Amino acid sequence: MSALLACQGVVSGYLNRPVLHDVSLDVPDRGVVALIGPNGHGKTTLLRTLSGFLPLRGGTIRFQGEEFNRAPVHARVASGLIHVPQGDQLFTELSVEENLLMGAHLCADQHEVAQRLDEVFDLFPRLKERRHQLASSLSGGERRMVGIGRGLMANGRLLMLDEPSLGLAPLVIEQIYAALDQLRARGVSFLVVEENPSRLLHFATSLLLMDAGQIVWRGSSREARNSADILKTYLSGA
Amino acid sequence: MEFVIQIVMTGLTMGSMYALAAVGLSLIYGTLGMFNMAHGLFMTFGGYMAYSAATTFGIPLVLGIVVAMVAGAAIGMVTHLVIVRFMLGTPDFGTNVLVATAGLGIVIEDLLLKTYGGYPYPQPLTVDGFTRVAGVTLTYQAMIIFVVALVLIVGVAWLLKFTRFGRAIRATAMNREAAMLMGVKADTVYLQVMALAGMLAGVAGLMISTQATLSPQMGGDLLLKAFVICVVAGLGNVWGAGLCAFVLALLEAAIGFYVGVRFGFPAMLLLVIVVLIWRPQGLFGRERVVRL
Repeated sequence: MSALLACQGVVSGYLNRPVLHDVSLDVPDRGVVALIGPNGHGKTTLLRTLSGFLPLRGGTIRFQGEEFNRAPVHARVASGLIHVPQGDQLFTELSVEENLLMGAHLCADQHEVAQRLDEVFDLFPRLKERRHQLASSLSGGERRMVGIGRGLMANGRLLMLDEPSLGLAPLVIEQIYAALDQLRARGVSFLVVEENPSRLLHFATSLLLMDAGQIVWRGSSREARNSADILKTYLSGA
Repeated sequence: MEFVIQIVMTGLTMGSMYALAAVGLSLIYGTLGMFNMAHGLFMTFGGYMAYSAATTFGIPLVLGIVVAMVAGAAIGMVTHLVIVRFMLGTPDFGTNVLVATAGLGIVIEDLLLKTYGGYPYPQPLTVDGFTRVAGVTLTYQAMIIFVVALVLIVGVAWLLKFTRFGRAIRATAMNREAAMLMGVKADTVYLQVMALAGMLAGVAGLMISTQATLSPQMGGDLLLKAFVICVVAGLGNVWGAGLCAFVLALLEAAIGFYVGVRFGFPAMLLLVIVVLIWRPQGLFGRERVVRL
């Protein structure tokens, strides 16, 4: 069986400044792949290339066996490749509920949408209490919940999370990862980007270390725990 | 007392037309981040198309309104497809598109001048007659203008607030990339906004031409007033623009009555200056937070 997401030799970046050189990675169905590494080394660029904001300059991207090299952003979302961007990027002047409903924008079936909304409220009860508040009035942790919940509303096949712990207090990070654990247990597939691997050693099935636009180390989470010193060298040296 | 009612009626009639123009202008600014200098010509175009349809086919006012809506929506979409689409996302978009749409406005104005001539026409799509309520004369035309504008503006507000379509427009206006990540086709949203704003402008044009005459330059004055209204409300604030349109029109009517008609517009401009000194972001605008 082929992987859910398969990247082969991806080259991408900005004009005159390639950021990614020959990046290959697979995310199996129901798999949790973590991409870690210091800031400014191409992790977000990879996600933006996968979701179609940056043009692919080399290599191939396949999602569920379909070639995605030139697909527009909305077509990728429609196929179930969901990107939860860094820093949430909420619709600040919309209510919590409207933000979540935007996540299900492509679903025309109102009953289905209502059901997904209930599922998100079950996962993050706090959002149900604040459903009519404007997104701009939320705390950082609540915003992250809306961001992830909005991604879940799309009911996609793969959830790409860009730094779900960024800027949050340790206790709130625990809450977020507890929710992500529940989702993983339900069989949601993930590609998670984090600067700090400590949370991911137990969450992910495999880890990739990215440095200077290349993947320099890859292994299962058990191997990562055993070679923690390698990771430490990279992450603290940056 | 009759004077007051008369002023209120005049204000509401003028306010209806201002609101149709200002809401569209504000919607475009809020969503695409551009000031549409061709907006006045969208109005003129709507007025002339309704005129042509009326003189050619002898259609009633209701159909004339539909013609003006379709004509306005069409010119809005053409503006997007021919000009705006290619400039979006380029450096200095705001300034360049201002010049480009101003240029388009001049082209449309000259085409209308060439086709119809500079002589002002009376708009045939008018309704005669009036009724007297509590000693005040109410023309049917003014009542029609008010009702049509109210229906259209409430309709657009409902569309924006309560439909999936409107939510996508608001989301795109707030955060284009995030909206795209929800599967929204941003290009389509922009096209829809230009069509919607054009539609309102087309009707506004027809309404003004029933109060005065049709001439190729007629949209200029209203564009200026709509711009003033948008600035006072806070650029891009659609609800504020609708409200300010009525408030400023009532003010203009009151000053026109008590001080003199020629002081109405200068008083509006003076108010803008005061508002901009006191609240540079407009009455309902929020201070822009610079996001890095």
